[in-house]
Amino acid sequence: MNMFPTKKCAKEGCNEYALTNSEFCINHIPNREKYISDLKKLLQERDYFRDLSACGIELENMDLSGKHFTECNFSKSRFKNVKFDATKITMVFFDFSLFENCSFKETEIRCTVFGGSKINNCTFEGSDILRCNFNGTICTNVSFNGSDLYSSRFVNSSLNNIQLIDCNLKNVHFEKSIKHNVNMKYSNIEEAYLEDEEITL
Amino acid sequence: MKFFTHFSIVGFSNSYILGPDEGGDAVLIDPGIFDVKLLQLIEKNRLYIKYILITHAHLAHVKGIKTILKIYDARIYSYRDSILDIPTNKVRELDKIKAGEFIFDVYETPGHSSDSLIYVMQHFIFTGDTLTAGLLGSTDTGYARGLILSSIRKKILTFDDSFFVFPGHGPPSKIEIERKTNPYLNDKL
Repeated sequence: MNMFPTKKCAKEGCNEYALTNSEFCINHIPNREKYISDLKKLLQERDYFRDLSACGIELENMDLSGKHFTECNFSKSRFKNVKFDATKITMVFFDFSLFENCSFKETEIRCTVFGGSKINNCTFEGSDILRCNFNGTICTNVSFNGSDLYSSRFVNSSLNNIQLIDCNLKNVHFEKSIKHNVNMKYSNIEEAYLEDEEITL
Repeated sequence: MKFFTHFSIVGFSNSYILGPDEGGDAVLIDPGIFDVKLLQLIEKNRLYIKYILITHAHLAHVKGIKTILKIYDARIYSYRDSILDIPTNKVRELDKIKAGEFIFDVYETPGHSSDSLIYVMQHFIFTGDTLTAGLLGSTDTGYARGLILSSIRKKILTFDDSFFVFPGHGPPSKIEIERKTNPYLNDKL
């Protein structure tokens, strides 16, 4: 099986990725409601997910705590009141998604992509968020307190009411981001890239 | 297809391994380090490093080569004819590398270094230090900055929004994210 299901939707002219176990994307799948219902059931029943392609899905009021997601694609999805506490998330694409009132407490998130997403009223407290891509995100009322954000990036993001207290910010990039009421108390801000600086790779 | 990333704690760079599901001949991109963890990853998945692709010959991306060659009989592909005094297979713009079950397209993207290449396989682009998430590769001169911007615009950004970007440093990305949110792509040449 492919690492990412890179099969495109069978609908002529559609460029979206097909859903797992389907020839179509979320917009063109027949029996869309049934597919989403089955997927939700699967997400509740199983604990480990690999190679899952579920772009554009909408999940609400779900508890996915403790589950493992590896190499999955949830681009352009919506998550409302979803609990991801103590999950392990590796190489998952959540780009251009919407997260509202979601909890990622004590999670281990690696090489995961939130780029272009809107993240509202969410918490990532006490998590390891390593080499993650938050570029271009619009984050409002989000807490990362007590997290290790090593080598993650918030380039060109909009950060409003963000708590980054007691975090590891080593090699974290914030260039060109708009920061309004961002609290980085007790964090190693001197090891982060806050503004444009010469970067040597 | 099996796909793994490995983080080098020496050069803070990313290495990538691609191999068949059932194990066998595999591809290693940018071996910045070769440590026990990487060896275990390869062996546990019954892979054999047969092909090494180099995006550019900075030490953070090639330092592991000598050790790897003591264990695996691998062919090295790069823009140069040798790296660390080890002969390599020179590749150039639009060459195709057939690496087991994978075929990589080669594109020259000078700017960060004169020998910079990117490799494209299916929907995956391995961008080395030419483009990383939200940033451009570092450059020494204004001319080099112009070159890197031109390389990115004329080569990397021609790919579809849905292509996945795996850079030499930092987190992964996608073409759509870079196109819409990378603040440096609109810099003047």
